[in-house]
Amino acid sequence: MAAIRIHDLCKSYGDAKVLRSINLNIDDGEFAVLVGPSGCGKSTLLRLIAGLEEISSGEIRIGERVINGLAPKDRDVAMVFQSYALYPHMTVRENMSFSLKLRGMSKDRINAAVQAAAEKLEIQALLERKPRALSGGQRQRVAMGRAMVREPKAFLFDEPLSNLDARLREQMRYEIRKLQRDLGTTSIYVTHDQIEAMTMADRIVAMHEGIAQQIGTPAELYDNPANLFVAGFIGSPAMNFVDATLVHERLAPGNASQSFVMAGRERLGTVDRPRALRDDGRVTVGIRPERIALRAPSSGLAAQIDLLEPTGLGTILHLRLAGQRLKVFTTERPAAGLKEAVGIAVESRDLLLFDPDTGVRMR
Amino acid sequence: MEQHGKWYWALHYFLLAAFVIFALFPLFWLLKVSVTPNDLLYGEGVRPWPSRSTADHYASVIAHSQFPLFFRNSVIVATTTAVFSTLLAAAAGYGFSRFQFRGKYWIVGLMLVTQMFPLVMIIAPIFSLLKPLGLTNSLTGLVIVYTAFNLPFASFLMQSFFDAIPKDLEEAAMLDGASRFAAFRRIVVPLTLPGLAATVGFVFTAAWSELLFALMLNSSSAASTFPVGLLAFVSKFSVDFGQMMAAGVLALLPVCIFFVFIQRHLVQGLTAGAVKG
Repeated sequence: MAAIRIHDLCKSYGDAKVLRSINLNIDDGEFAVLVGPSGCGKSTLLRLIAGLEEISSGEIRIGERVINGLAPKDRDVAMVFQSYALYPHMTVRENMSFSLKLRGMSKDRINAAVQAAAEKLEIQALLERKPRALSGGQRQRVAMGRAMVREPKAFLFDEPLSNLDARLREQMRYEIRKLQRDLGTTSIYVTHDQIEAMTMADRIVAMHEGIAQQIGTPAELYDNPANLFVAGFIGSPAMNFVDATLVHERLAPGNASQSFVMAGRERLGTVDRPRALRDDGRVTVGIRPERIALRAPSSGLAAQIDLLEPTGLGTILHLRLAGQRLKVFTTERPAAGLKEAVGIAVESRDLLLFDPDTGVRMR
Repeated sequence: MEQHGKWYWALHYFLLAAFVIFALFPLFWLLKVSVTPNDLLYGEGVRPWPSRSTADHYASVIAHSQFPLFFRNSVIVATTTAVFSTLLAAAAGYGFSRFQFRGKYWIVGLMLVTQMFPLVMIIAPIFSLLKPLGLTNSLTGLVIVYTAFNLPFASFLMQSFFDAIPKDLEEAAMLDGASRFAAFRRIVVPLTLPGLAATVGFVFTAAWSELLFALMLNSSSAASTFPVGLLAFVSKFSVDFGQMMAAGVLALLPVCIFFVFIQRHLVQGLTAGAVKG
């Protein structure tokens, strides 16, 4: 077990820059999740840590050791692949003991280690089977077991749940997290699924276009996204973005001026005046769908219902407000039907302002 | 599975049977002529089986001809060629499959080009290359030439087998503590056995039955292979069909035995990729 420190890491293939200046400190025993859309560089970062690709510049440390030039076999990290990558010609037992055998460990100790891991994962009955005779979930467990028996400094997970169906994914999510807590092994987990990231991570690294956009706890990323990308990527249904303008008015003579967020002619709410402000006053306003309250048509902002999507837990209402689309999530059964008018209200603290061109949060 | 009527299956098996008969009939005729006594050869020419059969041809081929020598030469040449070609092709195929390197495109292209020309065109240059090296009239010369000619195709064959093995497996092995070579030996090679068997089989048969180079490069009977030896049964005025066919049957045996051994792997190898397990 060890901390992982990544300093100013860059990776390019020819002229294509895949990772730009990544800085990341993962503490001993922490579960970090790299999340982002495909092509954002998250898998590449994991493969660089594993040593399966060479870094272009920067430094990676596991514990006190710089591992930049080390071969994968000398890094003492274990990886769980999306394809599980179980050796098809070996039984489950042989798969799990492969790394220990390479280390020259004695047969008795190997058997004990495999037995212990198998018990923990409840796969004792599968030990003599070949991988092709296992279901997806069982293969997943064996892949975990193969990583566990080694007691490595860190676990690396490369989208390990992508090939499972939704129900099994939910279960394995829980099991992986619980296992990692029990073992206390530093882990880096790559996924494109923000729900996996939110539910499993101690800390999330949101990645986009080779840049770590924001690093923080799930709650930090959810409540305080640093930019439009993070705001839009984290959370389901996704955050609403409304084109708006900031207008400053002095309500009464002698009072301090107040800033209003205007979408068309509708006043969405008052906000604290951001420190950095554009000359034209344009902003993109982010509002989480579940932070919008429904009112009677006569009160609040007037909107029209375009579509209703019941999810069981609640309903997603697609609204039209001042010519812009808006999603609202409510756990109450909406009273209004399709094409009917509805009033909405937003608390001022739920209005997040972003620069419409750079996407950076305006505070 | 779709449901088909019995006529569908009747036609199905009829066509299969027709094909098998068409393919195997010459072999049957080979066997038939090899056991036909010389005096019946023309008299009973079209009978499916002679009224008397004999093993005389076999006896005289084994005891009174140079065929055992040719046979031994062929075994040496074909086996050595198969081993060398497969080892080299495995190395080349692995390289093409797994590594990006400068000039890869051109090397593959040139290897393809070598397959484009009829062999007859290059017999003379090959002969004049091997002659001063003392490699004509030698089995070594044949092995070198056969290996060179089989290598491009064998490499492409091996590459396709390596391509079918996910990179993840090797990477997993390397993270498990194996060097690249150890990952190759312990993970890739066992999974490529069908491919290796297919390649060995392909090269062995090609070398076993090659006539052109064997005839042109080696004139001494000490270094002749059996296809050349078969020609010895053709004399100026007659062809000794009985002995020739008996020798032919004997020459078929090692190939048959060989294929019985690798058959299981071969079928697996040739259908790999078509159906992913």
